[in-house]
Amino acid sequence: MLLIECPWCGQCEQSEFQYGGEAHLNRATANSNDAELSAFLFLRSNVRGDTAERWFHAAGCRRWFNARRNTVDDRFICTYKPGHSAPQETTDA
Amino acid sequence: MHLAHNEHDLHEITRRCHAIRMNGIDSELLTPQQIKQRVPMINLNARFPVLGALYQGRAGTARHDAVAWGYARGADALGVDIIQNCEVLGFEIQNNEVKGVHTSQGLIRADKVGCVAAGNSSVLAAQAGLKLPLESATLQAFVSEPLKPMLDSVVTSNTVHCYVSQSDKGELVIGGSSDPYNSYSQRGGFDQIEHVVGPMAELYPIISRLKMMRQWGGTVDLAPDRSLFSGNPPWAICTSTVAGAPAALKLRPAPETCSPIRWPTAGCTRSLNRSGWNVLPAANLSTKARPPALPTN
Repeated sequence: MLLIECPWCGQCEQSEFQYGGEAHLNRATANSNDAELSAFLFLRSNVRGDTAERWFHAAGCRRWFNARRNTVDDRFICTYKPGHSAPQETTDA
Repeated sequence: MHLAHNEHDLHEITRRCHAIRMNGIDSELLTPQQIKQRVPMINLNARFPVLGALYQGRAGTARHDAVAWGYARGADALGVDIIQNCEVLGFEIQNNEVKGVHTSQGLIRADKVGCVAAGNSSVLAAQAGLKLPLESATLQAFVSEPLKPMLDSVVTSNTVHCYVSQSDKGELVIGGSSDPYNSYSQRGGFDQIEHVVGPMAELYPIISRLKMMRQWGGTVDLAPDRSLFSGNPPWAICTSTVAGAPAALKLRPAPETCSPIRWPTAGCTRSLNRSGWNVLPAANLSTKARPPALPTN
């Protein structure tokens, strides 16, 4: 994963990006109980394999986006803009 | 020896020094001059100058390989059978209680299951339907060519994020922070190497032309605050499983004591495995393994 495809800027060096953790989490709300708040804050899927996660183009356009990446070989499957669900097709980024 | 590079660090190590002393363990604070006496190769006037250090004179390193084999031999002596090349495929669960482990060599029945899978603890826990507050990342380490004795302490720094010690064979053993994204790849990123060796060369200019003989990345489980977590079942005790410290996973409360888990031996090899996935049950998961309670006064 030396290059990451930013949905706005195209391929850029990995060192320009920051990792943002698991994507598509449902935020805890004001009505959440302690267990739900705790789960939102601390429990992650920590998938071994194909996972959806958030990245931040910190040294570029400074915008967040989502990515599908395989955590076993660190290969990016695709990147997509926030607010979208993960694309199912597999395209090499 | 843990270095401080700014005023906040000095407050932090002072607090930590007192906390350690209040638990009955000797610990002291060093001035820059005292640091220089113990570690002559250090550059006190680095980009982030060295202002002080927390020092535990009786602490030291335990050779990691010897520790792993010590655990294995200790478990073996307690009657635990270590089965290599045996993949855990799932857990046998009846009425929300664990009854055994499905493996590539068949079902192993047990009322209690210890889970010591280093970076893969949450993967195994997920097979039992549990989510743990852990994320897996790559932690890189580096070993240099051998040198004459030059460093008789482990020197760590949180602020510039590097640690170094010298092995019995003379190699400098160097590490830093984990790679900043979840991964099971066991291959570190190149930029992280620079993040580690840059501060090393600044703090210890004498080693700037040193050759690194080995570099590798291991998968570590990291809790959100990098600390041990304990709680009620389903999990009883979990540590931040850096490179294989134990995480215990149970599906029902433990009795006060329990005997070592005995595994069926028929058709199983008992030799120890140096690498890869091991099925290595924790020998004794009694509640005595919990950390001692802090004094109340």
